[in-house]
Amino acid sequence: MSRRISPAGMFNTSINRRRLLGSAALAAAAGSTVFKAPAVLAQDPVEVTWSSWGNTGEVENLKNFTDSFNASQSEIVAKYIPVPTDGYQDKILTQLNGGTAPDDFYSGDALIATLIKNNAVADLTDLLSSDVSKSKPEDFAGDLWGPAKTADGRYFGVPVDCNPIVLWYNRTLLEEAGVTEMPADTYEAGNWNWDTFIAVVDQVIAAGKKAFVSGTSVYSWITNNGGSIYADGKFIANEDQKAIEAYQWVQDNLTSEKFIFSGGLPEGQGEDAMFMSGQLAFTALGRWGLPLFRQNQSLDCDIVPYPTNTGNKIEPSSVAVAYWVMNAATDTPDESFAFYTHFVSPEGQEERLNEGGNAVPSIKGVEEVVLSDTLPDHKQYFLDARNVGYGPFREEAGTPGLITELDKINEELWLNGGDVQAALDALAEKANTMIAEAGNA
Amino acid sequence: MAMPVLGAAPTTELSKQGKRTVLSSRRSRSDALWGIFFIAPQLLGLLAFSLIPVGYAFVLSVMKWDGLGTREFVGFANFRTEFADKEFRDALVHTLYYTLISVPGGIVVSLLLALALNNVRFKSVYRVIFFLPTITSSVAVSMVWLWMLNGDFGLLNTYLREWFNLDPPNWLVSSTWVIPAISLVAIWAGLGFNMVIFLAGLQGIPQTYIEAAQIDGASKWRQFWNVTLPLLSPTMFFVTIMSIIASFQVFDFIYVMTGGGPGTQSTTMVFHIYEKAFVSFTFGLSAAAAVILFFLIMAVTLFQFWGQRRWVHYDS
Repeated sequence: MSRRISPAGMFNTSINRRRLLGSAALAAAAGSTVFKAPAVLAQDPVEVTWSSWGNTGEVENLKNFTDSFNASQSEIVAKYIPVPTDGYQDKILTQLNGGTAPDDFYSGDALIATLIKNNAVADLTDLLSSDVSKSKPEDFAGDLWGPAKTADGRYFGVPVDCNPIVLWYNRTLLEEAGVTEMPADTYEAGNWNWDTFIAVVDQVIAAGKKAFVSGTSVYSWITNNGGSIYADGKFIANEDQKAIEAYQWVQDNLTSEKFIFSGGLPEGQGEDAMFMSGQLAFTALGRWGLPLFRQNQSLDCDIVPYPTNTGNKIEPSSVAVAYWVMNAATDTPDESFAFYTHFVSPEGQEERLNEGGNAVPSIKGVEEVVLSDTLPDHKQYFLDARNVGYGPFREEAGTPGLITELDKINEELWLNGGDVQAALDALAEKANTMIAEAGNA
Repeated sequence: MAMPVLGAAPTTELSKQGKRTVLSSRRSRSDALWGIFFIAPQLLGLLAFSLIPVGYAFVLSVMKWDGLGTREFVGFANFRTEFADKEFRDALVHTLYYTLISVPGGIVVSLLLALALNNVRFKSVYRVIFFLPTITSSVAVSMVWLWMLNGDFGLLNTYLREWFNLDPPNWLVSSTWVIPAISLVAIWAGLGFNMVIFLAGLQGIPQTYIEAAQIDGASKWRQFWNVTLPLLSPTMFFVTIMSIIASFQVFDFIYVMTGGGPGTQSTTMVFHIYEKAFVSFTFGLSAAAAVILFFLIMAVTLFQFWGQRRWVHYDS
């Protein structure tokens, strides 16, 4: 059974066991001050350690957030231990095995299933609904829970924030290519669909530039075609005509070189660099691209949701999410949860994502943090995409290693071509076998 | 005249001998203790960071474990799964392909360089220059080469187009060229180390042999082929062994430059081991692949030791 922490036990003691023992030991060592020491130490703040990945800017931002939290109260001292993005999972696993993992930490969608299965992270279901929690599960926007919420409705993590994937476009490049109506205007007019998108792509290519870099996973294209990927715990895209049609459409565009496959770009020299240097018209990214694009004074860009092929103005697209979890073996569950809930509360998210933030709040009510930014012009689309979007599929992300295995099959198709139906069948077989083995259907 | 006390002398002698033996034994014990004391840090390091992890890998290879929680004994199932896995077999092929290019290529180029530098002035300056890539972080080397090999605006392709009017491939994203491209980087990065070893070997060859060959009228090629090369064979053997072991363990260049791609076209054995452990969280399969690699390297190394009797000459 997972370790469950009862809200009844939260904040009802002024001295926890570790603090009491530590105080007693120090008091004993202090000899004549034996009766004074516990009283003094009882007021000492409790340390809560926490970790996340992040680039230099993100880490700086989170350090400032931690300092601000520490300055705002005197009972808890949060200690931030940033971990490089590369190797983050390895380090957290090692720390968990060694009993030295932080009290609160980020978990990628691929790791959290393993953590839940091994009771390494706390079951927060009761806590999140209790009075000590600053935000309830229903306060969070969209369908972003993914593997953090189990099939039986238990919560083991909360979306830290989120990044709805939208299409960023280079306005200067489009104008130079002769595009007279910008995609956001086409979208506002209700005409932003696959045909109008490809018409723009054709104009860009005719002007000698690259149009769009397609990623390994094309789930957003499927859902923007009205298709489904999973149903009843099974991968069904190979049987869904809309999904098959979307796959074929992507492959046709890759074959005709209207799209470029991201896996065909050198490591570390991807679409961001091409977009920044004015070589690429569209790139599918979240808000995380903003800090970088903001620094590029010569880049004039905006965003638009994925074009649809259903007649609707907007359809669900994927939203990138990381999860915020609490170590089940923390010595200080009260204080760890106090920091935990503050981190993802409306005020916590607002503070983290304000001024140069690189994500969209996962919680409702603090949309202003995105809307008050000067860039991009149509920032409302981030929120629209979040509200209708979807996080990682529980069946997929909740099955360790499955995303990697599916990526390999997709990469093979996008790189070397081949029969779309055969590739989708291979994806279904791999996914459903691994999901069944993991008992995750 | 006083009678000599027979027997007293031998007793004293024996006693002295006994004392000496005891002292010697004590000293040798003390020396041994000091010896152990001095090598203890290295020994502990070897135990903690090599022997115990290797032993643990063997244990894990027969377990099912996702990195946390309990381990389940599964016998040889992990080995069967790995051998049946196309990705594992591909990784093995990619590793052998990389070895076939990088080891002979590296040895030939570094030997030629060592021969060229053997009799030039400012030898030590050149030695330092060529050794620089060896002491440079492999990540830094990879990052620099990542840009040099860029298909669109990399230095290599720019010159191949401008000077030779060629249409070069996009090296690191081409299924055909990705392994040769990484091998090229590995040869460049390992050049200095091998060259220094070869230079040391060349300088250890007595000049008298060369002079004798010259007196006999041997040409430069004959001197090299019949005198220098055989006498350099122990060095060559050492370099070959080290290069092959290193090539079987290639990881850093792959991790930074290609991530195993395009697709899985540059996934090597160690990268596969890494992915199985830290991406798929199947530590048992990862350990099984590591054990297979361990025995593979051991078999190749033993084969080389067996074969060296035919071509390595230790007579200097």
